[in-house]
Amino acid sequence: MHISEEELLLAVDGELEGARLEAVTLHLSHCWTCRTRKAKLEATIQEFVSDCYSKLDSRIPPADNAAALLRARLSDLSLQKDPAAIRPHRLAWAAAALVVVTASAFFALMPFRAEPALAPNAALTPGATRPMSREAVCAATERSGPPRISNAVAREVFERYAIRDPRPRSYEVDYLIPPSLGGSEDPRNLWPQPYTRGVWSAHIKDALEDRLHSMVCDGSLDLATAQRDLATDWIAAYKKYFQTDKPRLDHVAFVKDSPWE
Amino acid sequence: MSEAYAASNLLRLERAKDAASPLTIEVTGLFEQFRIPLFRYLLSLGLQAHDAEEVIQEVFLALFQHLKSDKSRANLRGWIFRVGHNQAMRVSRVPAFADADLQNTQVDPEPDPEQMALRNQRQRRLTAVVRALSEQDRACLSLRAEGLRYREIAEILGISLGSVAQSLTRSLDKLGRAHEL
Repeated sequence: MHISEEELLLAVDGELEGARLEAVTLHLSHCWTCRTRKAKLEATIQEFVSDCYSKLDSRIPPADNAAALLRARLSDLSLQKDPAAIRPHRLAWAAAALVVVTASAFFALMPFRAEPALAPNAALTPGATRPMSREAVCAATERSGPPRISNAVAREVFERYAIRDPRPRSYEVDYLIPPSLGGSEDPRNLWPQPYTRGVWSAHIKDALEDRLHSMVCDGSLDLATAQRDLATDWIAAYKKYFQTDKPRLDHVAFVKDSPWE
Repeated sequence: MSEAYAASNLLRLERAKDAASPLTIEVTGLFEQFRIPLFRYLLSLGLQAHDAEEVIQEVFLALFQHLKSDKSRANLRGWIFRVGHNQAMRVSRVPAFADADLQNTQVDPEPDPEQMALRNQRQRRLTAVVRALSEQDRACLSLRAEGLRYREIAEILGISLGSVAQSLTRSLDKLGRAHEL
């Protein structure tokens, strides 16, 4: 009486215990037939793993973008739960304790502001455009990127947003409406956008700008609408034009504009 | 608030900025540990890579909430695969283990072309057998390949322990006969 296939597999997989395990072990030591069957079973498992299952690895992309997105989403989750709207003058002693529990990039980036600057302040940055035709927008070859914002102007923008001592390379002093879509260099069209705060980062907005530019130039969207949608609520615009509720993974590390140094 | 006070406060905040909460650290640690095994499993179920990545995000966000509400930390690996499996069932799936998966992955150079052709043929036969398995049988096989115990597999798939053993026996029998055809 030989060991059944199922019992043999259970033995191979270490799923047998007690008397059953003893009986199977004893039988295997006596029976060449069952030992051969066991060896064949092991070979089949090995072949499946090495020649089939492990081949799936080649389709797994590197973890960087996914890890960055997860961290941003977790940071957003932490924010939602904790009442982050603490007024500056109350920050004094509570701050040290709070940062430990909230663990958000929010305090690090904007120590004395009550709200994270996910979206520009409509009063400070309503958006401003230059008179520019669609043809001019699309003819411009933006090889050199948008005009660089001078340090003096950048400081003015930080000042207006009450951000003291901004950390280098953490922000992009961004055009609300990018020059590539007719936005002007007027301070009313500029705002400090954090790279690392939350899911809706400067990288994500860059991807949207790129998309809108293509749409304007292939004729599927008119320039005024693109400008208006960006100025009104760029996050809503992203959701609308990419037809998604969440930033796309491939946009998390999208870099077009240079960071403020 | 005096300038000096503001400055010292700012410094403290600066220092704390990278100190993510212990829970965030724990969850990102688990993400690093289980992303690839879970990814492989989801691909084996027939998810497209971008859908699998998105499911994994959902799983770890859910894990964060799970741990935040002080739920059990017992067998988090099983928890992660179970939630991942359930999420995957809501996503559209294509036949897994396409022949294309086998190509471009031949890392070890086979000097003899005849040997190589033979090996490719064996792989294709094996893969065809895996493709023809029922979804549940394939799920059992993949979860076992990821090192899960039968009891864990039973919990993840919501089936009995006996069904897991029967499923694996059946699949390995078919795989073992792949080259007899």
